[in-house]
Amino acid sequence: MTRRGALAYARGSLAALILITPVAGDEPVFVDRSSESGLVFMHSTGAAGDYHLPEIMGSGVALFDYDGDDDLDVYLLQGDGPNRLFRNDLEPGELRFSDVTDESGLGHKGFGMGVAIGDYDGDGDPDVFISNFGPDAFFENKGNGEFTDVTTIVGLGDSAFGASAAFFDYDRDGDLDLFLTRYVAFTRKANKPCQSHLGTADYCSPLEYPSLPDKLYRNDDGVFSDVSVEAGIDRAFGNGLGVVARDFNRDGFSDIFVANDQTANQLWAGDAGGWFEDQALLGGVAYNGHGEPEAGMGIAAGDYDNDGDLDLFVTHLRGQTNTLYRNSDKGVFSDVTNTAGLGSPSVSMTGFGTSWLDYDNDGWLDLFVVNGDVRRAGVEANGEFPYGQSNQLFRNVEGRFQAAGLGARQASRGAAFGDIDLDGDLDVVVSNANGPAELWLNQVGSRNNWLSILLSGPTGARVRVDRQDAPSLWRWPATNGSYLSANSPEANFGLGSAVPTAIVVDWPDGSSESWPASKPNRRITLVRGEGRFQDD
Amino acid sequence: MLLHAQEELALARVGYARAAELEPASARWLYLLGRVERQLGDTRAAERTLGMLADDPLALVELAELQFDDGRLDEAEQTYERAPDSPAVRYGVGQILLARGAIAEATRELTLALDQAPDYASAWYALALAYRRSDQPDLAKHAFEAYERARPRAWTPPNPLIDEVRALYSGPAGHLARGAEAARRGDFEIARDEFEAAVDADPSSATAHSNLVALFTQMGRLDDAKGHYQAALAINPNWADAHIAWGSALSSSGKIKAAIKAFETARDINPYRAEARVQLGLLYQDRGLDDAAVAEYQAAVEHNPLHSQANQLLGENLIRAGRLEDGLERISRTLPNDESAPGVFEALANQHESSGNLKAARWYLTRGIELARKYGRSDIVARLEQRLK
Repeated sequence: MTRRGALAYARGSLAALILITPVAGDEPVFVDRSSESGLVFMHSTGAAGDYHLPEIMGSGVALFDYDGDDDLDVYLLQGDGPNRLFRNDLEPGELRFSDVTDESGLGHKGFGMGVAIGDYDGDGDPDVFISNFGPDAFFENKGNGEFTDVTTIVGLGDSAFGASAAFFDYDRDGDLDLFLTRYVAFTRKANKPCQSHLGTADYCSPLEYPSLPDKLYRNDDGVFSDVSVEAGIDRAFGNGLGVVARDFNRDGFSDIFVANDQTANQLWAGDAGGWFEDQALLGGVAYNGHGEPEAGMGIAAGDYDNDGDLDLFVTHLRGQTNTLYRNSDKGVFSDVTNTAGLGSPSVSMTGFGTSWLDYDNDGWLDLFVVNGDVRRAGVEANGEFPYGQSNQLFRNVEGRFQAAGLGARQASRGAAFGDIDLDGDLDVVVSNANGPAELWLNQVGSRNNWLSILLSGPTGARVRVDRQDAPSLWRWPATNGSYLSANSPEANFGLGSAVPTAIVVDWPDGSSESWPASKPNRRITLVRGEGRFQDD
Repeated sequence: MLLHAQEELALARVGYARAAELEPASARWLYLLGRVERQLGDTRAAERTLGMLADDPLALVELAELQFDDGRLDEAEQTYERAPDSPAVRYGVGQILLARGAIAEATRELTLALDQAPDYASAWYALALAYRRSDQPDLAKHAFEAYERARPRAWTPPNPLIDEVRALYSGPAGHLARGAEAARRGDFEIARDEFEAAVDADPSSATAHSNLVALFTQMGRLDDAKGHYQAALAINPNWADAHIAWGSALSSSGKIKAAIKAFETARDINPYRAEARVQLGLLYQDRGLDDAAVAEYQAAVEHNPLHSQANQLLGENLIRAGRLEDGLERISRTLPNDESAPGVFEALANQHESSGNLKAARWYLTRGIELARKYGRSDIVARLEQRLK
């Protein structure tokens, strides 16, 4: 080995891409009700003309029931300024939000990137982790509507460029551990000037800065320890942005999929000893089907083909397609983007937040993707923040997708999914960089039967709903996924015209517990131990 | 074509359409028009345009790819059948067969593509996926390894028209990319020309000046390096790359105090830059400042756990400080992490045993056993366990 390292050369930035305007359908499927419901929030990047990289990455949003009144409240992260918490004051027929930031204590001022929600201390209420460009923050829910900053006490507060984070229980000890993706080694002082192809100042590619390794924190009695090295997750990393933690290979231990921006993805397969092996290459998810690394941003994990395993969808940069990886056998995936009809509609978009959601409750998981550019493109790309693109909804017709545009043209980034108005279908809150937050209420899903299930028990379970005269459906309730955001913990099942005949929960320890059929169109909570175990 | 090169795709589309009207006998304008329409996401228009070039090999492959991207496998296959044989055609057909689940046939087509273009990284990757799906893990592993080897020099189908377009782009980014590639190959004169062209295209490019500092240092032309270092700092005094490159120049010419200052400046600008910390650690160590050196190495591996030199240097220092196992653990991170690892660990055990360092030999044997178990090498496990006893 030579003692003096080889000199590195910067490549400069090359980008390649365009804008299109999707056509909206005849009937509005989602309608933006942000203003009239009082969810008024304007994101600010704090841009001062220096084109600092965090400004273009946007911020996340969380949907969670902070006050225990059984509806979803909204927490929006801010770039330049305090984050805001909006309480859902839902009344029959009227959706209203109140800004309760000041009394809640959640008006944290950092440069907000990602948010993760989980009950880290097992006291029954959800706590809030915030990843920042700068020191991260952690807020404990006191159970009375107030939060306390316990970042230092619990051992968190990494100061690098954090991105998406996920609470999950990797060691199956009953408490929630935390995985944090980290993006690149950018500092304001080290900012590099970059240009678009037009020669105007623009944001740099992440390839201008070194990647940062991600972090795994183990929770021991409410104190987190950095176990990245001993768990092996420092052995591969890229420009981390998106993360989901699920048991992809169905061995009973949570795995972690990390979407990296322009570098190979990781699929960390967890084992009983708390060790993780990167199976992304052999599993077929490190690259797209051509073996090319893509600009991974947001992730959706769900069973789009109703075969009982988790498939992956990852959003990417303009000029690439978004990519659908079908899980064909316990963590072995195939890129089926093109045959699923998802290639061509995404090639001119830069996707960020995303989720599988059965918007019409027909029993097939559809896709919602929020878009927004990261580079100026075309002569029309003038103005202060010319990165707007339309969002997209893809309807799943038995495994093949049909695209429909959603009118707004914002630089959309974070997106959180849940039934905000409690009408049985899934709604969406979108965080737009340098733009207003949007509340997209679903107008059509409640026309079909549905079931909404909340689990009380260990995280990482799989829920199956059997239907009369229709195939069974599987969901994995979890808050992590999308981009920088936290979803509702409820599992939503669209049943079509069918009614449920049984509900079965496969717990991470390998046990299966069943409940008798529930009437459709209701929300239920299943408590571990109150059903009938399979071998009873 | 210039607009296309500058990614003004909407305008380029108008230009190509007009050129095709004016010169209807030429296939080039229709091909480029179809290509831009595809980039713009206008699949229907692109298909119509490319479909007008029934005998053009480039257009047929472009059209087949478009149809494949749109999930229309039968149409894509028919289009490929009309194109003359080439690695790109074999690869495209292989992808279609793979998508249909016809694994044996896909394997045959991909193998034929690789016979014609052995560095076709995408074909190796697709072949690995085909072997994986047909439960041939050894062949899949071999193909994945071939893919990893081919990636840095990946073969791409020749496309003289797109080469013409790219050559028109005289912006700094293109020069920087080509210069960096040439420097990696060791073609320093070509790299110099490209980086200097980048400066000409954009005199305010601190990246170009910084790259020239590094290049001239490698060429031993320190006066030239210094000029570009000063030019980079005049543009942006916080250009960490320039400080690191200049620090290396100073270090190689024995100006250690000034080199330390340059690396410290780079570290202060961006504390996450492992290169600055490693070089700083080396200079601290040369001056006997071992604790400060170790602190830099530790920070370097924290920010880049895969930095081989930082792991090696930190490991050596930990061993010197009496922390044998921690040090060996660090150094082991610079060793292969694949099926060859048990053999490498055994060899290192032998080396330490013969030099009388039995503790280190034992450590390597123990790790070698763990790795041999991981890779299913029961023969090596038995041999190493015997030796451990």
